[in-house]
Amino acid sequence: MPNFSRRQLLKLLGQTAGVATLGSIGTPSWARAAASTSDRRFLFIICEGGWDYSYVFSQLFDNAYLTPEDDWETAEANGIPFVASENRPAVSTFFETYGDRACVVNGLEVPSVAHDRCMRLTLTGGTSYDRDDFPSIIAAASPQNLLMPHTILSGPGYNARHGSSVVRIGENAQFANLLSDDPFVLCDSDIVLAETEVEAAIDAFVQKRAMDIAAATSNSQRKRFNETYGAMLERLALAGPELNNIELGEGDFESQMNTAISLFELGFSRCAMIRNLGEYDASWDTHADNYRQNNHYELLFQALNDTLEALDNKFSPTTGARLSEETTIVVASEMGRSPTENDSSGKDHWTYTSLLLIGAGVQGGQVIGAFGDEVTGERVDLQTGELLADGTKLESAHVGATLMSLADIDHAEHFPSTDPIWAALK
Amino acid sequence: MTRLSTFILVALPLTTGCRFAPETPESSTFEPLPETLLLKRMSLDLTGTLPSLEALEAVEEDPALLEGFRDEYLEDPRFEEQLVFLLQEHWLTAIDEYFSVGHDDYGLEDTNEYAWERAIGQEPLRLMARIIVNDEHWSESVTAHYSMGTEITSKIWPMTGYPDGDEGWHQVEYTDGRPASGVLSTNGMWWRYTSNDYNQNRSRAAAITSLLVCEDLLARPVSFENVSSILEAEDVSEMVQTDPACLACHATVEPLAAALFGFHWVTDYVIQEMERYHPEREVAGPRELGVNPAWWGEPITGLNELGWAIADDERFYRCTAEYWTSILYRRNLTLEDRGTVDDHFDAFLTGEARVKMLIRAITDSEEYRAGAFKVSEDDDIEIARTVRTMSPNQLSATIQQLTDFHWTYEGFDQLDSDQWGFRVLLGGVDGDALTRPALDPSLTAVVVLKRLAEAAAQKSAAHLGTGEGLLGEVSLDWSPEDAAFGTALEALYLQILGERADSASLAAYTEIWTTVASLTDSQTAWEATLGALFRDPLFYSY
Amino acid sequence: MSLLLIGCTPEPDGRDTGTQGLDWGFERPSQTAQYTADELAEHVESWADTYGFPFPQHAFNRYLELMEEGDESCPAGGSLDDTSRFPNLGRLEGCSSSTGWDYIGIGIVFDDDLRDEDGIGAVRVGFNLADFVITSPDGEEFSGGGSSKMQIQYQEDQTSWNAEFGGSWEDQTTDATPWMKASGSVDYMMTYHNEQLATNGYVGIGEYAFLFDRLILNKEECPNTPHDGTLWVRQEDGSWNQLTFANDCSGCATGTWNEEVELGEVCLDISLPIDEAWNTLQAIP
Repeated sequence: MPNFSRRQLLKLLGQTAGVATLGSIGTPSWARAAASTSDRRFLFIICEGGWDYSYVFSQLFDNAYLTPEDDWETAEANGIPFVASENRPAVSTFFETYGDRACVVNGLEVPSVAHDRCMRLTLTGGTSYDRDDFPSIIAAASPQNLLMPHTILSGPGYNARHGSSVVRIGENAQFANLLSDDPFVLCDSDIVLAETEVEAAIDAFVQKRAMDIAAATSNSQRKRFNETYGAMLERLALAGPELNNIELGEGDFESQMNTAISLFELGFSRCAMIRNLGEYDASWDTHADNYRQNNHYELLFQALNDTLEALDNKFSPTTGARLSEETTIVVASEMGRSPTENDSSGKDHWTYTSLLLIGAGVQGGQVIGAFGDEVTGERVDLQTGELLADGTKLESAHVGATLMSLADIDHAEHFPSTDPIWAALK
Repeated sequence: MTRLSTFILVALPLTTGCRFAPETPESSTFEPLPETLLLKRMSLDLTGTLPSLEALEAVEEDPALLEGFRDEYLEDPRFEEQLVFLLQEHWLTAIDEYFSVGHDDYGLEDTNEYAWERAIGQEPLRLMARIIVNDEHWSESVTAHYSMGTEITSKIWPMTGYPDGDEGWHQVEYTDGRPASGVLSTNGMWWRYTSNDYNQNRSRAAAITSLLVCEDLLARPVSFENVSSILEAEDVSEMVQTDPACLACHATVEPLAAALFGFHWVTDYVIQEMERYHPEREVAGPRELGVNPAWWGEPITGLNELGWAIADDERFYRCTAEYWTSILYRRNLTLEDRGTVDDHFDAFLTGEARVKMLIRAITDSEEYRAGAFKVSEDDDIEIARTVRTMSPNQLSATIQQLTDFHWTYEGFDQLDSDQWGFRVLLGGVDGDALTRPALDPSLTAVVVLKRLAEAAAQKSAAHLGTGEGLLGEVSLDWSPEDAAFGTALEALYLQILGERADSASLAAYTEIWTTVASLTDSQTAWEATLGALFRDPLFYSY
Repeated sequence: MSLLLIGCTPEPDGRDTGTQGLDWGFERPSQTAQYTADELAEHVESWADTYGFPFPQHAFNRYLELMEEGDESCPAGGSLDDTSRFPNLGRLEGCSSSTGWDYIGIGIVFDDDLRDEDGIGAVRVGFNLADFVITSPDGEEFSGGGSSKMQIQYQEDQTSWNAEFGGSWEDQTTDATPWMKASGSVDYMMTYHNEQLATNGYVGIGEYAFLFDRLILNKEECPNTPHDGTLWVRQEDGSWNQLTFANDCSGCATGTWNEEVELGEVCLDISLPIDEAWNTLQAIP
């Protein structure tokens, strides 16, 4: 493979002012439309199974249907009212330390009770199989020539047009293994790697072949296929060796967070997706023993605190700014939990949930939306974030439009009839 | 051959089914694929492998022979294997983890883990594939009294009929009193689409309506804002039968779920409960749910009649036509495809509900045979896929066909699994988190293809000059100046890429051979050239 | 020339393929009453004589017996805490003892004595969760997957017993209880209180499948026959017969098929299994 120094690599990754001069390299022609000029990165954390918003995000102590636990207390920090408990100190630490960067959105409706449908709604804003998820869209619009525009370390992903922007690393670091000095470690056959020069020659040949065919054809789909293929090879050639600097194994939640930070720090990815399954990976889907949500939240917020601290102390490879100034964290769960308990001390599915936005571009120190008396979502004024009786019911499409705006993408291209939650934006 | 003789040839009947289709009709939208590339597409779609060199040359010589080859593919043993992977894209049963039970629960070695997983998840797919291959009426898929088992499942599950000492997939019958309902009576179906005490088979009911009649009840919005006093209800399950907002779906779901309680497990994650049918629990359905079994309003006696009710439902056949159209067109269908699906549905019915007839109709269609749009637009890819990416199993089968290389790792088929393998990295479906194949090349797919090509080329090059394999007739003494060199390269190009090399392509491949030979030796140069062919975008796409 | 242009793509026949339905001429499986009243009685008696009632005591005691067949290191020494009189099994990866018995899976037992100083309260024993296979040196397996509870409730002036039993249990080892030998699938509750034994739930053993629908026996008045409630009996075609007892001690029930076709009076003699039931239910470890 070509041997680039880190300085050369950083230069190749380009600057962000205007249209990157090298921005066309590694980006197929069909994908160059709707590029954003923003360097902002996005870390998506999906708490899979359905979290109980009443444990943290919404003080429903007076609600007729919900019985608070004995250890719950009302608390407020940095303008955000939340539910505190001595059994989840990390939650309080988070709001006290980072609440000014955080925006809670309550009463978000996800109109399904099936996990897989709710997940698709949450990440794409709709139920159609023809929609890409938010991180894929954002990653595909990156002005940078990124090796791994959107990296799924764990968790879901939905693609229609932007699959070539998505990198899945594999359950057991398969991707990293394939790029390593021993790419056939997961192969029963003894395969001897070709010499470096031979490998480089073939790589270059295949890349040129793809681009030559693309240039020679008038068939738009043949051109698209070949350009995409060639672009992938080019990305690999430019930045592949640097991948050895980071751990790309799946690991536990904390190590995945660290991997995501490394991907941002090294300029490999614009978006990363991580799935959180709570304590012991038991899932947030607490149909029995809902009290387990306590420890799920404690561990989640411990990791968030550590991540934000790390982001404060790491720097962008292109602008030199702190990563925390250029990274937005989106913490979501595909559904909520019913306010009432079932016979197994658990809570069942609920079509209203909460969302947490943290960091770059987010107007922090506030809660937008609320759960009403029937624990459904209250309507809001998108401009001010205030509750408004004849305002807007918040749905995942609003989240999508908001994220597009944060990513400096024209939200109307993807959500033509939905506005962002303007109040959530700085 | 003259046009007259072509017509006469077209008019001659053949013995197996309907061999002749009109020439690809003149289309206002598409340029048709040249016949050799259409042969390649049909071969890959129907057998998972490339057409033979002989077939390519025959069709090149006489395009009218194409239809005959298509019909041969429908009778090819590899067709059944390919059907399993195609059906997986709709049924999604071949997953890697089953409801928290594992191979070690059965005391099986880790090297049997993959085989165990596929023995479970492929069971309903293998049953359907066998029915298709045997040209049975499609109703058999929901009324068959038999299933398919392997040497693993026949030992651990209550099955009979598996040949002693044999391996692989064979027809079996369950011995635990489950009714004859085809895929609806397979463990493979219900280990994938599970339920528990809270759910009471409702998710299984939704799976049935979605998979078999394309009625996706879960796509309907659910709003608790419209459900009066759901929080006040003492028993929410009663509301699903009385509240209009709930009844929109539950009027169908509850009676269907009531038919499935023979598969109800009283303790989750326990193989003893999961592997057998529980006839005594059938009657629990109506008692627990308060409704009698019914299929979309039609009363049925239970699971034993459910398959027949589905078989009598026209939507079952239309849904089959729909998902097969989507699978073979390699894209999601929209409302605008309704007319096309209608045509295929008609052909399916006229063909007495034999899926082979349906597949013939689809592969006869304009869109299937399209090579390009007459007028290209950037978004035409959303209208039709004229260039397709090989799926993981097509890559695997093709590479094995050409080189005998099969990427395995401690019992795992690395291109058909995700725990250690590369299925989703190659754009495949894992049946759980990923339910649609990735249709464009991705970074990970390109890397996997690279390593696959390197490994396969190395294995093949080991037989260089021995008379075996792709390089069997090649001599290390040849140089690019030798005519034999060029002939061999042309033949490799045709066999692997499915089309004749133009002079520029031949020159390019000759150049890479020369470059590598100058760095190393002739053997390595042939290996590298072969590897490059396996990475060529014209190999990876079709 | 045009005659030669015979295409073979099936021509649409102009049929409206809307919602009219299809007529493939299928013959659906039909259900009919399989038994006469006497045959039904015979069928039930045959079950009772051959297998008897499946009690959690059978599975639990067998588990205890076979747990003794190992050695000091297997199955003992598993990962679960042993806090009851009875051993837990915690061998997710399995173990082989020097005696030739193999153990794999889990058996989480509970053993609670909740009585106060006056002896009032409950004693409960059973499986929280069983999911194991125990294999004899001859390769025969005892396999259990489910849960159970056996309880004695002591009160001032009376004592009651109850049982809950669920899951699938099979025992191919020597001296296996007959119903486990035939493989049993259970999901029921049973209580004995004020001289009445009440059962409710689903039992499948071999080819037999029953629903005990609030079936009641009265120890005082009719100790040898069901007194009240309904016994549902499944046929091979999936339909059900009902034996409804009329709150008398005649030993006979009204037989129906599919809750609609009358079969007449069905008289049973299952005294022996009922005796065993009385004894077994009380025998809580």
